[in-house]
Amino acid sequence: MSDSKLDQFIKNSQAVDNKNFCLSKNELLKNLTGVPFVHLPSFEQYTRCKIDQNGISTACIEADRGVAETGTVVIDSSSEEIRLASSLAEHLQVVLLKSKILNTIFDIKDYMKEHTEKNNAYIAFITGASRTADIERVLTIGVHGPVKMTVFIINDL
Amino acid sequence: MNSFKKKINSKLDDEILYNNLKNFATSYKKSRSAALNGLDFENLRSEINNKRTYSPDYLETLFQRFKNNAEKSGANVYRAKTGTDACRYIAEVCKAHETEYIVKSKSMTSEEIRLNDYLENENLKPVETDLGEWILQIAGEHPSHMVMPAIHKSREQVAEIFSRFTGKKIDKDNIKEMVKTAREYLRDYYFKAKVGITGANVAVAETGTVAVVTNEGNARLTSTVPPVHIVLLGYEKLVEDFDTAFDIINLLPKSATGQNISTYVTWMKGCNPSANNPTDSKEIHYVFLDNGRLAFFQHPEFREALKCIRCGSCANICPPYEMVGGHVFGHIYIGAIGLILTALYHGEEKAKDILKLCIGCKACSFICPAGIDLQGIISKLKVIVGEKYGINPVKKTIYSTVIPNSRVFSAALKSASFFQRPLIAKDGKHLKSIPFIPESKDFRTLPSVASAFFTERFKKNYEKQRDFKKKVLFYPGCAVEYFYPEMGESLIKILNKAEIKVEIPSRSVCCGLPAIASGDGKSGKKTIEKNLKQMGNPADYDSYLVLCPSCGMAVKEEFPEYTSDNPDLYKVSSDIAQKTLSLGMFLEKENIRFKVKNGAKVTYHTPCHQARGLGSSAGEMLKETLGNNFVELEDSDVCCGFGGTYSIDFAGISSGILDKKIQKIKETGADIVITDCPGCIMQIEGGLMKKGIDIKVMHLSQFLDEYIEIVR
Repeated sequence: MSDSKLDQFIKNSQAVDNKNFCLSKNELLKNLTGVPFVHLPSFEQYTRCKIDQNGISTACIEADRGVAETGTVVIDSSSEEIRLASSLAEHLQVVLLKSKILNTIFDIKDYMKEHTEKNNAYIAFITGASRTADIERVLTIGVHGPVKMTVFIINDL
Repeated sequence: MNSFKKKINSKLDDEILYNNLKNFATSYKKSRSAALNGLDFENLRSEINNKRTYSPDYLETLFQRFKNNAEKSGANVYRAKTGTDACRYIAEVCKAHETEYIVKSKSMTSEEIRLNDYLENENLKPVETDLGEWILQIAGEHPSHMVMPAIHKSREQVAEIFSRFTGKKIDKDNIKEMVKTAREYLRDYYFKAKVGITGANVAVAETGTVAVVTNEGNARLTSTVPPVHIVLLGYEKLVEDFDTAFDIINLLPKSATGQNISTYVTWMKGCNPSANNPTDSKEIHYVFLDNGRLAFFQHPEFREALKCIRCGSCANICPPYEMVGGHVFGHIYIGAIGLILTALYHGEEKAKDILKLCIGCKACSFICPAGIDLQGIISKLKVIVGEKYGINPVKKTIYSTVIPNSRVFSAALKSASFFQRPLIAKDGKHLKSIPFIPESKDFRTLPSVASAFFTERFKKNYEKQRDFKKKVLFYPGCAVEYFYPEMGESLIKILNKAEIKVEIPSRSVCCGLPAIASGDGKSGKKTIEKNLKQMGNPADYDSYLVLCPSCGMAVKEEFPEYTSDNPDLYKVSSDIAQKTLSLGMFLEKENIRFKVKNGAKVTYHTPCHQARGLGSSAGEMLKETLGNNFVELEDSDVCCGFGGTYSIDFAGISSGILDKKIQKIKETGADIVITDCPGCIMQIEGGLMKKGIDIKVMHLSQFLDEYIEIVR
């Protein structure tokens, strides 16, 4: 794939205050130490922890797709622990394979159709940490869910 | 003063509201246009509009398809005929699960049916989790905006509300601390509640999937933590497939807040795993609300309003909304769509006053991402409600007996012209003071009634023009006829120089728009029929010209509409409609070029009905002709606050809108403001004179006549 999609993804992801890192699979695996919740099917990495109303420090979850035009990641959250971890982690880390970046949300239509034809589905488009501007329109991060979001883009896959 | 007027005045005096809405309106426009940069907005919105034109049968098919998919995956689907039906069903589900608390993420539909009140009466405790909604819930108030519910509140007020609620001192300048406080309190409720309620932004029939859009992520927690999830939605949220769903999800945030995409777009289908539920999977209920919707899907015009995607942009750019906020401009739904949905869902009685707040500037119709002609629907509702509840009796008499009868109208103004003499200012064209007008309505210096009316002057001085090959019919309208005949004379002079003959109707009659805009459709029709009898044979004229774009809009839109029951008249009126142009449009069409005679610095105010009624603006032409002497006016196409009798009925709103316009004009540093609507001139010139600001206001025709030479 051309790097223009990657560049566009990073630009739009930065625009919503995400940190973005391009790294190799091996570099990523070194970064996982101490992360209480890990769900990376592509690398067969799974770590679990108790998730209650106190939340958790960090969750590292693999995205199925990325969208260059908006800096969005698409996470299949049908499993309850992924839903809870991604909603209640202070720091949400998302792992995205470079090859999974598409141009626009319209390119995810087939993915959506396929997943929602199953009996149940919970698909999340996430573009940044939880935010509000409800008080005097001042942008404030972390009103319910994550206060910080990082995207690890795996450039060798 | 009646309670409605009192309510308006209290909002006009609310400085926090004024500043919050004014600042928001400015920043919103910038971020929206940045988000739409490079996109074909017109095309996108017409696509959304076309794809969502549902016949009642098709809607039922969509619903059945959604229902089948949902039920197959184990969800429950309930059809609620009324708001009370929906409330009762939801309360029963909550009681069956013996929950004390219920978490809710923002749902305008639940506001529509006053769900919280119902649940509280049943001793249940609904908790709003959207920050803005929660602030208002603990303050005992309701949202004043669909996207930013607490936009009318300042940080100081929020700090006070939070201090009262928590019993802790909250720093009034620390918004971060306020947000953190909400986070802690609300986190607790998610885990206490056994039921979560959300709305839905779209419901995709092809697979039975709903999407909920938030920035805070509260809908994610609401739909994840409790073991039961209720989705309350109107039938209008149904779409056939992901294609249409994505069209909406794509345009909604851009129109709502100027975001490229909302932070969280969550798609849910069926009963997902839930450890808190004894069955290990979530219990799901879809409550489809009718509350009048299904009937309105059968109405050719009102069903358009059901295409609304709840972005709030029609409020964000509405000049009167910006003055009074959503607690006045709307009932539960706010903004232009709020006026309409109030009439549709809450009844004409609740809508009859607030419908009058629309000034008719059409900004909403042009910004709506669902392509709804909001102003057009409001105008129709005004007529319907006007017929039922009556309009102001003084107006009624004028519209029904004086205006359609040009002799009576003309005679009335003739005597006004005589009696006003002692009041005329030194310039001979304005009134020094206006007798009997209350101070609150006296924000402009008004023009005096002309001593000789336009038609009179025409017959005296312009009856004999050379027989040029090209011939136009100029329709003067009331403003030129009675107040500004010199504008019409300028038009004749310019066009004669360009070798074009100008004729006029034998007698001047009002265009009918004032009556229609005030809800008096019958008088409007009578007036229009009178007009058509003296506007000649359309085949004889190259074009029909107007100097008042509101008249032009009436000729183009209302004339054909109000004669549609009479084939002969309809034929004439639609032929005339097609030939009707403003002076600027005509000059452009005829490719008539100009040279500037003098170096005055000039700016241009775009009249609402010029830009959005006739679909053109003289701004570009002036810019090209004047070069460096032309200065752009920021928000040039935002209403000046005139709106005809609106500026008297709602003088406070009108003068507030005018003040903003005058501020922008001052910022240009121009010597002359050009515009091409006599109404705008009456308003802007009147305001500038009253404030003693030395900036000249001219109609395009007068400016061209005085400052420009025609290049051959």
